[in-house]
Amino acid sequence: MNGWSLRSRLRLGTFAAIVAVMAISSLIVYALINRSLYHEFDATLRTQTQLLAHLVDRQQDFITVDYDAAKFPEYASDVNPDYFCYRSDDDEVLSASPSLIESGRSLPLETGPITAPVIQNLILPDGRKGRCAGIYFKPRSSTVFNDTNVDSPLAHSYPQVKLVVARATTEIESDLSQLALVLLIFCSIAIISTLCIIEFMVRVLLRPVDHVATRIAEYDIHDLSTPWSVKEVPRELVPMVTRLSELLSRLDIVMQRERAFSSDVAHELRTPFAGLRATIEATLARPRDTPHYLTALHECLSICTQTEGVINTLLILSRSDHDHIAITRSACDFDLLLKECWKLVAAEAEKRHLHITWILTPCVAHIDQGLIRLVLTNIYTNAVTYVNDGGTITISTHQDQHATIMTISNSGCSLNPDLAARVFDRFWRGDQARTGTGTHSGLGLALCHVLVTLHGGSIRADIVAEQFTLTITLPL
Amino acid sequence: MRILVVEDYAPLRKSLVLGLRDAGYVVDETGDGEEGYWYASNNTYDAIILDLMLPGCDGKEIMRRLRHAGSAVTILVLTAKDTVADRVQGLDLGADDYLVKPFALDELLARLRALTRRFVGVKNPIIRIADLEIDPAQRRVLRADASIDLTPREYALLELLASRVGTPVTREEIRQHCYDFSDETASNVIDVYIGYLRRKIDRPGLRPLIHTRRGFGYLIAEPT
Repeated sequence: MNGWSLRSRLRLGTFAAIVAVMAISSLIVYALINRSLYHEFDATLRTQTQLLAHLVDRQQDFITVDYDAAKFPEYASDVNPDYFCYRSDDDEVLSASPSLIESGRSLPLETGPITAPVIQNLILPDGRKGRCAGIYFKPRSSTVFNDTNVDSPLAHSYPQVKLVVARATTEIESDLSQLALVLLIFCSIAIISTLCIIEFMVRVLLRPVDHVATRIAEYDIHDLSTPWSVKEVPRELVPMVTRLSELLSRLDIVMQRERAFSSDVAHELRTPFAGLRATIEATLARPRDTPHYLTALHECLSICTQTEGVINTLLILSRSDHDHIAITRSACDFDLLLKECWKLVAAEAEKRHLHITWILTPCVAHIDQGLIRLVLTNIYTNAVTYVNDGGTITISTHQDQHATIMTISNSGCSLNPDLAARVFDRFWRGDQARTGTGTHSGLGLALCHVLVTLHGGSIRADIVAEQFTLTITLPL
Repeated sequence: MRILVVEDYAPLRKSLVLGLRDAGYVVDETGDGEEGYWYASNNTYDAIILDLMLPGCDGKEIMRRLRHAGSAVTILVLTAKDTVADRVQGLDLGADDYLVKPFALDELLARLRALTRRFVGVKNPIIRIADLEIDPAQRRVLRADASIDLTPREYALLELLASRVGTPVTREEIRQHCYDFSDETASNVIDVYIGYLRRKIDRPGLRPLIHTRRGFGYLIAEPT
């Protein structure tokens, strides 16, 4: 049933339930009527048996049966007769119905007391299905006065008579067959009608599901932000529609970010290429002197180097998105690493007359040195770029039982403190209009975030009183 | 003709300035948006080459402010954003043309020439005044089928006068369009260059095309 549609499941389930109910109901009705008919038949049979019992007379040790065919023509009929048979205690036939005598057959011997005759099914001597009742009793004597009590102490010596009366059940069988046919026809009509109603109802009632499916199909893949009103949606579908709407909103945000990212990537790569092309074309437009050519070539090389940096950063970010970066940890003196990486920006810091404060605690960290160097290069470059001229940069480390913690803080930050968390967004820059193209593409801190996270650590930005502080936590 | 280049990516800006000056334009440059707006609103330019992503004040805001102030200066937008939506927005904000990076310098120069022709209502790329023929694309000047060699400054001066055929151009306008901020312009320098130009254009035996309008300036016109 996996993969079956809702409609098919509804149809099958309802059909099976209807059929089961109809079948069980019909069987119950049939059984009840069957039982009732046979109960009535048995009652009639018992009555007949009792009537025939009264035909038996005892005279001393002799038993006589006063059967009059005129009074009980059913036992002498040529067509569908009933049968009876009287027997003595030792099963000697005392008397039988003409129909039985004519058939030459016998009836069953099982009998019970007159109040509880043994009733059983049988095949009558003429081959019809029938039912018989057998009793045994002590016949009364019609000639002896006061000999009406067969239960008196002397009765045990009286001879006992067994009587079996049999009748055909063909009428009942016929009635029951007709009943079965009627029930079958009725059930069939009811099932077919119900199927048609079910089909119609399933189509009508599941229309809202079709509407939902149509609405989903109509969604513009380029604009998933359109809200979905649940006013016209059935209550049972509201949770599904609500979740779908939320999912589409999140998907829209992701797609917008992806579009923005693609646009930013295109922008960040196009601008340096435009610079490269313009430099070469302007240089080649007319004959130049050698220094001019050298300057142009150096400029081109610088552009290529910057662009290479952007591309490398993008590749690392892309690999991290797909879990393709392997971390190779080794123990290293973290404070020494910090000092070593600072050399890359030391000249720029000196040029801008920056005051650098080091508060380092000797500590050993287990890190991927190559990746952490990238982190340090980026955060140092960030600090040196955005600090005010003559400002201060403070770098500190310490270690607790769980992690190595490093902070770097620079003065001169003009960003709104609310934007602190945004600094790790890709291509985000404080001045949104600035063209990055290389060192300030807005990818540096995004890269730091990814690389620190790969180490199982965290990086946080805080802006307080124009101080921009990055706190990096690397687990031991 | 005087051009303002507002582009924050230094290598590109420098190359643009070099290429434009080689083409005979007088060029002012800046890498900052606010500074670019100041330049544009306080000087007269024949065209502005404007990047959209600028520090301080982005290109769209500069265009908005200039057009709001009534400036009709020709603006050629230079940007890496190439979607239809970006181009439509840029053009609707007041750009006269839109060039996507990276681009060929020759294309930029050709678009600039087309824009400035459009601005002065001239369709023909070749400017003809009597028997004087000026081809801005080739920077070639002919008079009576004879080629005339002009220095870049002389050519810029001739091109300015030719763009206003029959209309006097004041000294101030000449200074605005043919000299950038780095040039020091003494009041008689313009007269001196007009003299140089006359000697080459209005050679002996040819009817003079360059005229002086005392108190107004200079003009170029067909002899009456």
